[in-house]
Amino acid sequence: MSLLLLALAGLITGALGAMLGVGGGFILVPMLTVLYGVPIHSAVAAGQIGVIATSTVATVHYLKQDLVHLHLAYGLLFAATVGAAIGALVGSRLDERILAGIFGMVLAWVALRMIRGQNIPDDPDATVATCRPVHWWVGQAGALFGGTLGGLLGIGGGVVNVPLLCMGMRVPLRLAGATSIFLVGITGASAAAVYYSRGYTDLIVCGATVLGAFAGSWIGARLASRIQSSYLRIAFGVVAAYTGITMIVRAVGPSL
Amino acid sequence: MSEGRLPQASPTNALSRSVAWVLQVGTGVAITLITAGLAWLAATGEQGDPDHFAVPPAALTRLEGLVTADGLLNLGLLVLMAVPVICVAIGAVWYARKRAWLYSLMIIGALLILALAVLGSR
Repeated sequence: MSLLLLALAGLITGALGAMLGVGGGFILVPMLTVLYGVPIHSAVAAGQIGVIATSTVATVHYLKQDLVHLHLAYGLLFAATVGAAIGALVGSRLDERILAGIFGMVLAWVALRMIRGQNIPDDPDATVATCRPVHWWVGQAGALFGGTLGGLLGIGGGVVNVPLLCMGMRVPLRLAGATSIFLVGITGASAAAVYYSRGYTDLIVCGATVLGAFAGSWIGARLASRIQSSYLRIAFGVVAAYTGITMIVRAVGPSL
Repeated sequence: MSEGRLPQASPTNALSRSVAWVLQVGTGVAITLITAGLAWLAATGEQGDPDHFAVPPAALTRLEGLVTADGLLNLGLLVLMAVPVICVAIGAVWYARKRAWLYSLMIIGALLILALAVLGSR
C-alpha cells in the first residue's frame, strides 16, 4: 500500500472536513476499506486520528480569524460527552434501526433546509465578537441528543453540531463550522484513544493519512475563507443528505 | 444561564491565544515525529511489513522502544491525541480563574467522562 495514496485519502478528507466543520470519517473510512483494503477497525482508528489532525490545523486558522466560538464550544462539550456516554450505556437496549430511521429523516430535513437556505443565518462578515447565540438550553438539549445518537449510531459530531449551532442557536454558518471543527477534535481524541488502547491503530496507515489530513486541512481552512458561504451551505446540505440516506438504508435495509 | 454574564472568547483574550499556541506546538511536534517515523520506515524498506501496530505508551519510556520508526510514529500519534485534551484542560483552568465555576466544573466533568470512556474500553 503506497504511503502517497494513503496521504492523498487524508488530504481529501482533511480539506472537506476543514471547510464544512465535519470530521470526515464518513469519507475516509470507506476510502480506506473499499479502495485500499484496510481492515475496518484500523480504518476507523485512522479516521478518528485524522479528525484530530483536521481539527488542530483548521482551528488554529479559524481562531486567528475570530471564527471559533470557544465559549460556546466549551459550554456544549459537557452535554455532548454526557450524551455520548448515555448512548454507549443504553445502546444495546434500544432498537438501533428505529433510531437510525428517525435520525436519517431528521438529517434529510436538515439537508433540505440547508440546500434551500431556509432560515439559515448566513452573515459572511460575522465574527465571535459580533455573534450572539440564542436559545442556550436548546443548544444543550441538542448537544445531549446529538451526543446520544452519535454514541448509539457511531456517526461523527460535525453533522449534528453544524445544524444545531446554525438552526438551533442562530450562529452564522462560518462560525458554526469553525466552532464545530474544534469540538469534533475533542470528541475524536476520545474515540481515537479507545481504538489506540484496543490495539487497532495501524501506525503506517494512521501516520500517512494524518500527514495528508494536516495538509488537506491547511488548504481546506483557507479555501473556506474564500468560498461564498452559500456554496458551503449547499455542500454541507449534500453531506447531511448523504449521511441521512445512509442512516435510512441502515434502518430499512437487511440486517447484517 | 445568561450568555452575557460569562466571559466571552475573542482573539485577544488569553484563552484563544493559549488554545492556538497549544494547537500549533502540538501539531508541529506531531508532524515532525510522524514524518521522521515514516521516513525511517521508507528508508529501511520496512513499510511493507504487516506488523506496525500501536504499542502501550509504557513501552515508549525505554530508549530502545522510543528510538525506532514505530516508536517515533507512536509518540507522534500520542502527542496528537493529547493536544485536544490539553485544550479542554486549559479551558477548565481559564474559566476557574475567571470564577465561572459552573463552566469550569462542566468542562472538568467532560474531561472525566472522556477519560472514563478510554479507561472503560480496555
